[in-house]
Amino acid sequence: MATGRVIVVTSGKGGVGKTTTTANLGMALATMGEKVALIDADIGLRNLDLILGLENRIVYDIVDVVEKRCKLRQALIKDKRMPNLVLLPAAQTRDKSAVTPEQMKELIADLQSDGFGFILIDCPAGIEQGFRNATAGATEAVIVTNPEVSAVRDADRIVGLLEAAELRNPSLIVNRLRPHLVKNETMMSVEDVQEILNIKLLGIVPDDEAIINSSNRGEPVSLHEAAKSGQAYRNIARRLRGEDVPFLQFDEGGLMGRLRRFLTGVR
Amino acid sequence: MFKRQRKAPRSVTVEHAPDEALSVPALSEPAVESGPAVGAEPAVEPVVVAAVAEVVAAAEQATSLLRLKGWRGGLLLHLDADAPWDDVLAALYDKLDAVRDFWAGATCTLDLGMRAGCPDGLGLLPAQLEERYGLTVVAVAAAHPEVREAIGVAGLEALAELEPAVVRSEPEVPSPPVPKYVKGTVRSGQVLEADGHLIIMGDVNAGAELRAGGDIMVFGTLRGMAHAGAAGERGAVIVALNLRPTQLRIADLIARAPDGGQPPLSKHPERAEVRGQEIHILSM
Repeated sequence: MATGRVIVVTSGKGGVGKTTTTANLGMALATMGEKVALIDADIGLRNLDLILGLENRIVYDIVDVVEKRCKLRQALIKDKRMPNLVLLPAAQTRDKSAVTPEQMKELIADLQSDGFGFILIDCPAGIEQGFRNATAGATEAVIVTNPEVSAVRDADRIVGLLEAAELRNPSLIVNRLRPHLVKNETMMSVEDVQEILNIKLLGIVPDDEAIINSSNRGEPVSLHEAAKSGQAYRNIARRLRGEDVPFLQFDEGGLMGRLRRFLTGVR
Repeated sequence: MFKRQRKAPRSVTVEHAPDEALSVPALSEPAVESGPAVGAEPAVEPVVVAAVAEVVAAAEQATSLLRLKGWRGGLLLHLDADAPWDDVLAALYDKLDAVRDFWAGATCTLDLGMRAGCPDGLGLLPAQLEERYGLTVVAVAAAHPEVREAIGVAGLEALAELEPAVVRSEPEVPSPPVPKYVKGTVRSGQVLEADGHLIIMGDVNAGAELRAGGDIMVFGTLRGMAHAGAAGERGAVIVALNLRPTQLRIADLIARAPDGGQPPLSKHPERAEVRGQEIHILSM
């Protein structure tokens, strides 16, 4: 029987970085030699292809597959950098009702039998049919949230819904953390978020201008050695594979930060 | 990927002149007849049709003994059913003689209408028209059976009556699908389809899709996907003032935008067409 792991990346709230996270984790896992399939379940508002820089290669999409206009293999877009990473794009001209949870399960089973070790599903925002489709075939869930009350509230709602859908033990990625705002107590800390959600922390990704640039250029930031956020995503990918990787420490960079740390004695 | 050609050599431009001479009717009011288009093969040369129209107009004014119309890609000669046959014949020859060389190679149908009894010389008329004017009679319409019998002997198609709808119509040219004209921005997720040509007065954004059986013209920036000749017509073209598509498709061929950004904007409108097995982009 197929053993590929099926992980849905979800959040409830929109704009917290689900798609960016899916793209970067997929890319990072692929660079580590995993055979990875990414599914864009955000039918009608597809973005994952853009973040991966694969938009111009789309000929068939997930709706074409479930409506049997093409074979699954034909719709899978091989990444231009990583041959072991494929994308199943969403349809842009349809809506969430074009796919049913049963069809998603079938599709995922087909991907598993094709030997994909990781199948990541980019879930749309919301808790309606798109969410139900995206979670239908998943066996694990990663919840992405930002350190702000509204995102955490929605993430909490999602944890509850996932439990109801028998998707237990989701793990958490706190995205867009701004360490200096946490330090002066204007932003929720990772500990604050965890205290509310009380689920396993998978990773912390700092707010990083490099992500804006890389998203616009279709080059996932996890490909960039230097970017702190890219390092964070690579670490999360390693943890997904079962490695024990310590969490990144976000110190203020630059001369002033180091000077302040030196003067105040804070590490 | 797209093959962009800065400027087509003159000879190439001439070679592809037919593609450029697109017959697109007035944008605001798509007309039913859009001139010669893919698949539509007028049986009569357009020039002849125009000339016939003039002659027809003159004939209708001149006499009621005789009326000429275009029909079935040829002529329809209505011969008055009540007037003496000799008068009708005289009027016919008179009319045809006026532009004697004009008729060569054309076909015609004679309409005798309600005329009773078989007029003398009817059997000879087709041969005479052929000989004098090069005008070939292909059918004769007559309401009375004995007239039709006489024609049957002469080896021509005999019709009891002309279909009323057809009689009224102009030369029958199968009309291509009406071009579809859309004004405004076509946005992501929107799909516009047309059986024939598709004309957009506005931008087509990334994520939008255009599909047409014929050509696609975008009077604006094309950023989305456009599929011309969707039913397999490789002669179809895609034209845009600014051609920045995610993907272009013509018939069964697909081309995608180059990775790493589009080349600088062309100062001129650009046209995508099939050359060999590839989609090429040419400056216009």
